[in-house]
Amino acid sequence: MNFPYEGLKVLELEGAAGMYCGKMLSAWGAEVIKIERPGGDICRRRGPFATTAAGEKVSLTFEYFNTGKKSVTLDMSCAEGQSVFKELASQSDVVIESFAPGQMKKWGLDYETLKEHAPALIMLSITPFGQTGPHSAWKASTDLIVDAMGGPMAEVGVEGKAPLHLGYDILSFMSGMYGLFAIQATYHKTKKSGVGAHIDLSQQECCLTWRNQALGFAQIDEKSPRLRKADAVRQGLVNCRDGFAFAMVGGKWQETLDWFSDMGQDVSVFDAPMYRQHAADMLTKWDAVLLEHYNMLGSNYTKTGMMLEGQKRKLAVGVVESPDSLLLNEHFNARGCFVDVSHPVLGRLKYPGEPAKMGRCRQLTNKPAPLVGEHNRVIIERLRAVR
Amino acid sequence: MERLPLQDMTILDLTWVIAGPMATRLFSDLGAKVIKVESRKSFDVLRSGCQRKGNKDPRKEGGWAYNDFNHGKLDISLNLKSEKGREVFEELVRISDIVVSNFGAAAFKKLRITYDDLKEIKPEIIVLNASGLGDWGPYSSFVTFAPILQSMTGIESIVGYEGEEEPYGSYPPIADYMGGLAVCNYLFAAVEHRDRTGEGQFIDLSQGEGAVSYLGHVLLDWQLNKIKRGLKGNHHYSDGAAPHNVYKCAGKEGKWCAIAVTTEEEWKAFARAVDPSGSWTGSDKFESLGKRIENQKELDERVEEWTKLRSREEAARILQRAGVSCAPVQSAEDVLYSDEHLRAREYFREMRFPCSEKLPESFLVNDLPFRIDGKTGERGVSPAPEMGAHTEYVVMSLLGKSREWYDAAAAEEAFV
Repeated sequence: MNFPYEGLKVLELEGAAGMYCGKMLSAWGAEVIKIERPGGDICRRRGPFATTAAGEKVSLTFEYFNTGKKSVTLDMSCAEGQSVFKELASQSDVVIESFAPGQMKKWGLDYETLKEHAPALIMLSITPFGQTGPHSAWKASTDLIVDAMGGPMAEVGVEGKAPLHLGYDILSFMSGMYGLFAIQATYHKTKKSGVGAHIDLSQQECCLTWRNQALGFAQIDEKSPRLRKADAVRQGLVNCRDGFAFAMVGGKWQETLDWFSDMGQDVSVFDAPMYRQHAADMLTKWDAVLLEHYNMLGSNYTKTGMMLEGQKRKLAVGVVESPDSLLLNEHFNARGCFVDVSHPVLGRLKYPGEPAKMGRCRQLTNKPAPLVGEHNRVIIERLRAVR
Repeated sequence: MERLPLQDMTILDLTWVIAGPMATRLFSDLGAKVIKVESRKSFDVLRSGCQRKGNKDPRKEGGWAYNDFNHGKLDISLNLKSEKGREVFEELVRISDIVVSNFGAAAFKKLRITYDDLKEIKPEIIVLNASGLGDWGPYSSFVTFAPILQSMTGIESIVGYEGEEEPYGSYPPIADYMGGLAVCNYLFAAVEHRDRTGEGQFIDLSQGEGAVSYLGHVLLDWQLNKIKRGLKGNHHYSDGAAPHNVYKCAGKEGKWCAIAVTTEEEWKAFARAVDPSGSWTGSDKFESLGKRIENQKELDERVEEWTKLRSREEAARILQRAGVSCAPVQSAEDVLYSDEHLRAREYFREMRFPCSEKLPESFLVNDLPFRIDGKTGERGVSPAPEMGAHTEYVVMSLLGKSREWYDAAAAEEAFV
């Protein structure tokens, strides 16, 4: 078995936005070289951290999203660094960058310049708001800002309190996967035509594609979904003995009532017209009475037990895992979803592996992220040989 | 016109709802021929969702979410259980590069469309099945909608207000979008492998595992630090920024702005912009990130005193000019009608619904979130096709069947 993208050469520049994109290419056999500033990529200072025995802080965000890559340190702000970068780029298929728009041009390393020596080069620029337009120079130091501008934030949360953000930089990493798609689509053509391209990806626009229901509501009902009313009950969450399960009626109202009855609950209160629509409803439209019945049900089960019993009844019920319990989830473990990685400093750890299993291709997900400048010597020697 | 990058690609699309259709539409936007298979009995259920009032038949006109994910595709109605319907299906497999679906394992066997069946028809075919939790494993037959996957993968447990025990609850279907993106990426990996080796393959894609793969840093944090961080609201998840929150602004109730200050340089810029005399920002309570985290409650109150006196747009303008990350919290209406940046980039494109009385004449839908060499997608797009709109075209023009054959097949209910 071989890797799908073995032999593809990728340079990934500083920043968080392109990290997941490069991680997947590396899992698929591409050589992904991280170009770090002397001292290390700024993302090595992004938490959460682990502290080593020597008291050194190691960024876990950096470690996870850079598995399998190589590292070269280069000072892009000086002429010598720029000239080395140009050499590297002329021997590469893909450059991934997420500097503020205009920065690469200031260094004389923009796509127009690089393509003179590398006509087949594909450059992906991932920035919060894209390369053009009045907000292109706006900063978004964390995902909070793009979520506010384009994400679902305005419709998540409770009235009277601030709208809520989906944390852990997830939106950035998802944008990176759009970037990967754009690279793959371009490469599909470039490998035949020999002509590369520059891809301008906006994280704000990525977020908008994940909001299409709200965009439709805004245009047709003239009102998009808003924050939950302060007196409305929370949707879907059921209190179990050791945490929460998430339950949906999912069009199976009678089966849901049967479950309540089987556990000795009086369901006559649901014999009202307003509840009959639940039979057709895919979503969770809970009121206090329904929540109370779900919670009574939950008091009989652990969160996993509630899921297993619900699923036995063909109902959409899931356990609400937290980071500690997720690692123990029997299904994910049975599928080998977590791979063991031997980290040179942090020891043996479980990392999420690949999102899909490919029948005929290898995927490499258990090679730890590089140390700062770990591959300086190898790469410089390779350059010398070419010169 | 220049050729779109994927004009040499044909996808037989058996997917429905969000993850699969979203993925195949991205391919059709870039020139791939996507043939969506439905049938009168089991049409895409998303057609019925997000519907305008008064629409009688979702098979004729899907709701807007359906339109967004399915415009630009060919749509055929096919009865796989009929002999001629099966024949059409097998010929479609022969002209396709990819067959993509999101069924449970049992449905494959029943319809005789397992990977083994399909590679018998065309050895180099690429088959991807995107399911909630994968094709095998103890929970693989579970009923999973996006909120269930979000719960099972830990996403649910990280969205909620600080200090509360209960997470927020039902979040938009982000797991479906994660799954859709993974579908796109994996299909290309398989196409690349086929182009190099001539081999097809089967891909077992678990949307749940796709979602877990976004949380590796969270899982490492737990393994190494054993701290239950709990809900953080809008505060930075690992205390890497402060201020980092959403603040009330002047104007009507419900106007907010988000501010994120990560580095000391940004903090200094922030302090100069909101408190030039240093009356409170100069306090030793806020002198370092560690101190600002320690005194975050007071910090947030101070910041909000400033934002409350300004509109969210003004707050964003002032702080962005100073080099500080700040943005208004935008509703769907805001992004559609008043975001000058999106307008300047001509992001949204128009979809026209000639058949409807009650829909606005033009309806704005998403473009691709990236431009290749500066090019946007087509500006005007048609709505998603009616169910079966292209059955005749596909069978006669693409597969070259005669009118007589088509009529005979139709009489045998091959296309219902």
